Amino acid sequence: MDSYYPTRKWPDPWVDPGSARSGRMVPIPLETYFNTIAVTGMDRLAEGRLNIWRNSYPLEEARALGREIAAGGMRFRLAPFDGVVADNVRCMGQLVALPPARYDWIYMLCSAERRVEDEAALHFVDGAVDFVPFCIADFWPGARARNGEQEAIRFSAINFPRHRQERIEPGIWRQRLPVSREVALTALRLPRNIAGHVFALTCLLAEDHADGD
Amino acid sequence: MAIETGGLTYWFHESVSCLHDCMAMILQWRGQEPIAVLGAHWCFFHDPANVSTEEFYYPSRTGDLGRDLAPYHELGARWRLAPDSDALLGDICASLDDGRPALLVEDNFFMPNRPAFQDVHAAHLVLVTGYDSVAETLQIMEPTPPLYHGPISRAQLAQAVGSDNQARAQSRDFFFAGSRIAFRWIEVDAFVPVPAMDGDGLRAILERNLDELGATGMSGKLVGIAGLETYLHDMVAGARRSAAVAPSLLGEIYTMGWAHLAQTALHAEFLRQSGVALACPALLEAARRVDGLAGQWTAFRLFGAHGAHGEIPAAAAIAEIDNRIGHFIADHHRAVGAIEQAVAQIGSTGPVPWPGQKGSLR
Repeated sequence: MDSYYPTRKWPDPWVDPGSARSGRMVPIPLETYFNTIAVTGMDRLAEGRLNIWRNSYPLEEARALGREIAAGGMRFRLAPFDGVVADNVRCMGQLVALPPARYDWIYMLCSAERRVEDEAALHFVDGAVDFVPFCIADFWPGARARNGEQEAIRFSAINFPRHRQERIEPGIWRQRLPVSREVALTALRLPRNIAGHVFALTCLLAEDHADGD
Repeated sequence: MAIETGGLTYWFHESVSCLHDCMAMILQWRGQEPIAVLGAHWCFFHDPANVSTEEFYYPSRTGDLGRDLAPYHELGARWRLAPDSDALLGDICASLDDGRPALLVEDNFFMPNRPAFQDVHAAHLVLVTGYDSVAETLQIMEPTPPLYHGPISRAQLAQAVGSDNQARAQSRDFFFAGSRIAFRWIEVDAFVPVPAMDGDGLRAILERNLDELGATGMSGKLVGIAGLETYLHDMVAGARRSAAVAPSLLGEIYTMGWAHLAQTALHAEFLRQSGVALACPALLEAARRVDGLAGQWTAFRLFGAHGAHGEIPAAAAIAEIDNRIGHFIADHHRAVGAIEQAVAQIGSTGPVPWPGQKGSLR
């Protein structure tokens, strides 16, 4: 069970006096789970692995977003996109360690090659596990937020392996997973679903997390 | 002489192929709600002997495209073959003269409006909405981004409709190259008004779907949920038996799965819109069950695709597909149960008001 509760230094929650969520937004480091390149520059277009066609998001636009972005009032930490090192988690059943705490929601920046209709497992400190729906809409332009996602990022172009195509405007969604169990959460098991890409995770501490923890 | 069809608007659904997108644009132009027509039918039908590697592949139960796509409506659409590009473009212009836009099969490699232009060969359908015989152009309408509604030269189109859609390394589409374009087009009949649907009509459609989902056996064909289960188990067994055959079986599920994903997603939307129109919560719950199956089709298709040509070994992809079968089939039965419950709650109503459409659900 050691791997469930690793001893590590966790980032502090974001403090944002302008937000009612100040002090509750906990960015989750994903670098060690990144396994796929979804953002490429003109010199490495063929390295994109956003889908079977090897499309990718344009590097210049992704970098211009900065390392920390806000989407619908939630803050997220993105990869330092360089088009060389993996920048997202393609979902293959990874167990993502979380700073143990009571959370209300897990927010994700994510996209799907077509669609993801699956489930994730939430692991709690007492050994309890809850399965929750893990659904992500298509990144392709024109696709709707089939699961009630918010649109977080919309690019102006998409990369193909040998050229960049304007007017195909791929997106990244903000989706969230509910945590109903009022017990400290310690890990998130992503589904084994090759269609799913996760770019950032931010856990939202329970409204009353300070009480009794 | 110049003809242009006015009043067409783009229609796009990310879970369907160019076939449904183009048909939907014609239905919309006729004043019909595409989901009401294209989303009414839901079943599983697979004819292993007749799967083609084309984006617009759709299994044919009846040999008639209109009836395959919309068995409860008079869609009036059929495949046509021409001997050469002059004959093909002549037939299409005649259809336009008659006030009927048509669909034609092209190779994206020769279409300047597509990202694959001069790069990748792939068979694709596009809607033809007009022509100008002086300028020697045809008007095409492309609802898959990048959107395009404008002219293409006759000479350019002649190349695209006559391409042998070569499957050469580096310039082939993984799945939709290799089949000859062969001067094919889809003729769509003039609009015949369909009577408005009422509660009884909706119930009858859903009951027929349930009958088909519960059906078993048709010589050489796989039908219903039992047929789907057989297909998936046979596909896994076949791919495990022969490493040489595995890539083609994995690739096939990507192609055939698109047709079923499309039908399932459109039916979910059909149930949802019916549920909203009738204020029937049971229909809305059934809609979500069916929509979940559409989402699950993606995993089957993409493990197939990536196992055939992508990042993961074929054996791993086969294992992932195998692991999903039981759950997928159980969820089909769950969806059927939800539809049965909804059917029991649909009363004898007057014409069903269809969201977003003036008048009634047709």
